[in-house]
Amino acid sequence: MQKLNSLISVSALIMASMQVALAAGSPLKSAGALAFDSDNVLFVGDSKAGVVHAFDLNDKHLSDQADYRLGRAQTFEGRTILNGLDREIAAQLGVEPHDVEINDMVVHKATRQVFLSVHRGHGPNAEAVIFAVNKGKLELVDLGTAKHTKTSVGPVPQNETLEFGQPLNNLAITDIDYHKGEIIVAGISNEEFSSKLRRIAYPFTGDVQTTSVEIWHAVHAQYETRAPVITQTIVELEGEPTLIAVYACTPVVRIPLEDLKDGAKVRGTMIGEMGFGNTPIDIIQFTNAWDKSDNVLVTNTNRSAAQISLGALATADPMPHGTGVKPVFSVAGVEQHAMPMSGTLHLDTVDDTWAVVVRQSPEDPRNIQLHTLPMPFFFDRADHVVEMNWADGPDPFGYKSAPPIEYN
Amino acid sequence: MSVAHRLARRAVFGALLFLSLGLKAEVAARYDVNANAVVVCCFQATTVLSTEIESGEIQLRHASSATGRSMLFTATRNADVLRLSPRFRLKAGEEYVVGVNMSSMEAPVFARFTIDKRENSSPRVLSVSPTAAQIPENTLRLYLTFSEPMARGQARDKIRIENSAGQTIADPFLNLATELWDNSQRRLTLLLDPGRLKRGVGPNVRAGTPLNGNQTYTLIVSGLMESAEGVEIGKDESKIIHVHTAERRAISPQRWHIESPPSNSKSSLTVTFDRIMDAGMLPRMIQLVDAHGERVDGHVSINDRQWTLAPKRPWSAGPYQLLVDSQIEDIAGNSLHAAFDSKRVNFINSGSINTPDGLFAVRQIRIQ
Repeated sequence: MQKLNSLISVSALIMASMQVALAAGSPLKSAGALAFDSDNVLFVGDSKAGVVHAFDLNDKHLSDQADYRLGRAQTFEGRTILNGLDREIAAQLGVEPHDVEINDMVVHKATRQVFLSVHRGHGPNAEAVIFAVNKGKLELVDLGTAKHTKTSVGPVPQNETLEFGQPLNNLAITDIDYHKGEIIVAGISNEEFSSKLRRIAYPFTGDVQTTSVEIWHAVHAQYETRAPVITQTIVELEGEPTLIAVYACTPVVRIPLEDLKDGAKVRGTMIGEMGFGNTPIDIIQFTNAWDKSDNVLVTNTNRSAAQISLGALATADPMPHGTGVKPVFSVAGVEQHAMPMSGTLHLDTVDDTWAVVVRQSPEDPRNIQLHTLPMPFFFDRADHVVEMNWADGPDPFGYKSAPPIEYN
Repeated sequence: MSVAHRLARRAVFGALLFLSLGLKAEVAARYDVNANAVVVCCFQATTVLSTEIESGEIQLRHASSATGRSMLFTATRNADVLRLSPRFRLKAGEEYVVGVNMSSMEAPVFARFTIDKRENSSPRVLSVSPTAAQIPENTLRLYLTFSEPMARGQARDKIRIENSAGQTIADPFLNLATELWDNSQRRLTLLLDPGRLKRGVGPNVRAGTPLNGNQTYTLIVSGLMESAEGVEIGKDESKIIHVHTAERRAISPQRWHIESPPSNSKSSLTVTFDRIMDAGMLPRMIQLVDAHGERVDGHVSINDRQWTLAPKRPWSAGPYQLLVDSQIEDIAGNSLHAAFDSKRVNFINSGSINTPDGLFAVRQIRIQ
């Protein structure tokens, strides 16, 4: 009878494994920097389209992860949520892992859910997608069902350029930060050497306030009028909203948010230097749950991560400048504490106890992990050769007597 | 079939699928590129397909995938043919495997299939900008234009500069996570490390400028660099770069040489720069307006050192204005405001105009 049925022209729509129907036509041309507002709006930097998208996510996209155990902070044990993150993504996208680019990661604080911006392929037609991590499983986010708005931030193609063919200029959006109803967007132009920051109110109105920032660069011992910001965050310093920006090689600069006005040229105050031959990756703000201090953490390509307290940021003297100042070659200025993180590709916090990283496994750099780190030290005991991990080593804090963690 | 039996069978299905290389294909699958559909057919006559297909009964994977996960797809059945519509198009040249394991079937069946790939031509380096025979020691930006869209993620490993002794220059380019391509991914911007260009600064003192005056270098694009389609260039492509003294002056349009055509003619107006300009941005940085402030329509051609306008209509006698966008840069990043590594900032003053489109320096021209 079944065979007979199958001969009749029946057509049944079925779904493979876990997926949901996906609305066609994602508005993303590319997907880079990610940020959430204080609610459920996901901002996605789309360098190729020259826009920042805002997707107002709802219950269809968000799934509470409160029950998902992230590790045991008391014993400095993080959890590897996923090994072979690139391979897992590649499997769902139907390509090999080398065709997957993981561009950014952000945590939706209310649900503790991790979101990733991903490209499938490396060519101009690479497909841009957003994945969410749900109880350790990767799920493609259907952006077609979210309320969507966008704002232009990149070069606006002009008719004048058409006689030369397609305009070639482009802004690579390097970071997006949300603060009280607005976003700050940093980027690197492929044709201009500039340090423009774009300040945009959300909900978008079409207005973009652009400010050129000039900084004093201690390593360069010059007025560095133009250099691209790589990563930034907005903190309250003594009640004043302040942008903390980290540049390519690698001054730390303090700019009061109120100075960022349309068309203005402002001079940021350089208060620190993270050392020569290094590029920053991410800067995030966190509260140390142990001593209640507020801090930022900067991850770097060629140096360990650095922690700086907001107090120190607020009170740091501007680094000396002017004629006769000798160049600075090492870490200088505002007090920084090195943190033992390596191989970090992307970083965000879940809450005051847990950070989550996309990283190269300390044991095998080819293994891209989604892993949690106990705060405030961003330190997972298992990653390090420490005495207390040895069978006959000391156990001053009773780690060894703690029962094994049971993960759900 | 008992529930336990079914679960056990489901569990080994994924593992079998991965190991299916040695299994006999009992069905046929092909990819319809135009419809983005995988057509699975030719089940044995004894095979029974369920009317209702359950989740997990069909898997579609890249053949090399070592995970237990299927690609995302939807499926329809039409008589004895299954039609899978993948969420993402299958990639040309890659091998995929489809497995069907319906509860109505006696055993799972598999098919492996490879997506046709047309032979794409090897990419070539079409041009390196600047094209000038000599470039200044403090050159900030180079542009490479390729014949095909290229793949991201190769610039750091596949592009290098060698000195005349054949030694590779260490870290000449700014270490950025993002590569600076245009949207077609045919043109790549290479930023020489600004820290090494600024005189007396840390990287400059430690390592010197990446390029030194009165030296000859070779810019080499590895033959291993791949197009977006995964085709290698094939053999190293190189360009000889002669380096001369640094250009450390702010840009001044007053120093440009302008050849004005006679009125009533359609001869070209040519602006010759006193240095190599940034050819990438040049097309959108300069415009000519007439006495009424109207843009002069015509064909503009540019190179590193010249901007030429062939007008559509004959020139009128009288004043014209060359408007130079204040964002213009030369090859060394010098601007109208200041030299790239000067601490003196000279905001353009006399003769500049501020418009809704930005700030422009003005060079007056009179057509006789």
